[in-house]
Amino acid sequence: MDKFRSSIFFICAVICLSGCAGNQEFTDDSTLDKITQQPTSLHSNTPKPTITFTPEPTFTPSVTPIVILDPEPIGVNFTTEDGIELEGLYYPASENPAPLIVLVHWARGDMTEWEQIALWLQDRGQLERTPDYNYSWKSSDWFPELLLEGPLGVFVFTMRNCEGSCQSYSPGDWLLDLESAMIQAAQLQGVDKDRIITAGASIGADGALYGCAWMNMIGFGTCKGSFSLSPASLLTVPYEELANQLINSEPSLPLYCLFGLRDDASVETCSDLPGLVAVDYGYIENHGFELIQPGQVRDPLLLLNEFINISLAGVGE
Amino acid sequence: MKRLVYAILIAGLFLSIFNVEPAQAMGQGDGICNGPDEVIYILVIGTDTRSVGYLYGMGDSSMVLRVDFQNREVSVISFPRDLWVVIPDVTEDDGRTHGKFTQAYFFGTEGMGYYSGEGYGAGLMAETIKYNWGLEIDHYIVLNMRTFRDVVDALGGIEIYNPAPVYSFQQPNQPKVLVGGYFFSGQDALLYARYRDPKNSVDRVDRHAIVMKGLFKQIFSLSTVPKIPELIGLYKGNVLTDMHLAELSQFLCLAALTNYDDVRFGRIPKDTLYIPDWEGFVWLEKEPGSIKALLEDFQAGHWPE
Repeated sequence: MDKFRSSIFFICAVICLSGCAGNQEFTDDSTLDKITQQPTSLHSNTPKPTITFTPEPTFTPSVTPIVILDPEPIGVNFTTEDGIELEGLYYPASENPAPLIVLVHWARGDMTEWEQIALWLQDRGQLERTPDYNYSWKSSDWFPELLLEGPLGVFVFTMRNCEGSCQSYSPGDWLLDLESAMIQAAQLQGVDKDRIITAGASIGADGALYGCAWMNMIGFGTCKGSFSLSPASLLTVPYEELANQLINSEPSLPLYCLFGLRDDASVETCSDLPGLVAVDYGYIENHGFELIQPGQVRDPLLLLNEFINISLAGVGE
Repeated sequence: MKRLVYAILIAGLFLSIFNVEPAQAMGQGDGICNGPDEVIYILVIGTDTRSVGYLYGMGDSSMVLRVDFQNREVSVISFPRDLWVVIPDVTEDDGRTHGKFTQAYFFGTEGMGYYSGEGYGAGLMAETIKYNWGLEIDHYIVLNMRTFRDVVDALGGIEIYNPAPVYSFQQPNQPKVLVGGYFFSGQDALLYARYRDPKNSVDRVDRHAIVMKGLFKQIFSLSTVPKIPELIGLYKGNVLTDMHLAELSQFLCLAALTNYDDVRFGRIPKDTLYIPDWEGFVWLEKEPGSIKALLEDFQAGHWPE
């Protein structure tokens, strides 16, 4: 049975790769033209009559032009190992190739929870700083100034049965979704697949760490670190086990863990793990995205900014 | 593109040849929801303490869950609190060897300190089950009344169906709870589970099972699912358990995949027990060995049907 599942995975992956253009839904048709356009040779291949030697054949350079995708988010549909189609959004970076951050949502929402933060991280002038009086993590008017040391692409997606918010508790299925999402992320145009990082909230925090560890285990792309808001081993895989694995890998990966002290499960998960950057926000019940609030002594978004710079600078290498 | 295909080919071959799936390769079990291969037994105890913490208390509501991740099966059996049993390994109390089943928890609590093994009251109750009937417990979960009430309230209440009138000693001729469906707050659910009914039309043990079913149904209702992670976070510290968070999420994952009509609930049948002419109210086995035989069937997955 295991062999069967692995083989299906393998076949699906090859089919998916063979027809990956079909899996990727580019919203801008002109983008496709840019990608398929071949360079024109600057050299004539007609020999001059006065020259008596046999001319060497002229080769057309096979260099693909570097394409910088437009800043507008691109819809990306992809299929999981067990045949479920998922939706994602890719916010391309201002350079090609560029590192990528994969953001994973919580059970109380879908990928749109990350929308404002994704635009902030992409930093290509798409963010309109508007207040949201209900949800601080969607209220970009207070977001701090971004101080990234380089361009960054962003990929978000919605796990199965989670449109709007999750309708069933399906950790086993969500792990499959994460695996496919990480493979998809590594294949996005303009992404440096060896400079991928992850971040997530609540179930997404556990998912982000799992995705990172999984990517490095299969060796398809390289994950450089993971940022967690209130993890609690919620996806049936022990957070500490995966975190230890990544912290003790060569090079050691930076892992951040943010939590409130009344969130007992996150306290249990984040405390006392050597090498983990654990940041508590005092005796509050806030969980996941709720930790992203203005006016904190240690601004969670600046910590995310710090994590990105450290991860992608290759600390420990 | 070719390089990508080769990379996936190699990854696919690696996984096929070594017969591993990613989650397994990361140290997880083979069962559904990354659960263990073997059947596990979880002792769930509701204590009678209203205060915060677990220093003292009686194990008034005790159930054992048989969880089979391979076959997606969950079955539950409840034990009568007044069953007279051997309580092993009691190190104090003038060499006490016997007591009510509920006292096995009490003697082991940290406050009483009569048990030196792991798990305090839950540890001694697990030892008691093993000693008397040969069933080995893998994990325990203990809830006090306050936590139970708070969890039910955090869920917004639970829905139950009461199959027969329930009376109380205060008003023995007027039903306290009529037949029908109810939506209970935490306090109501607690009262319903704990009434001492003089007519015993719906046994206390059966009412515990009714409340448990209602609780699980509410946890996995559409409105609650998105809050599950937050609820685990808020109440993990208020529950006494030796289960790791990942094991809890494995169990919740299986529970979410299980149709509640397929969960098999059972109890030690009343007709296998009798009340002896002793001072104090206790139950004894009519035929010594009958409970052990039932629990062997339980372990084999044959009982309850």
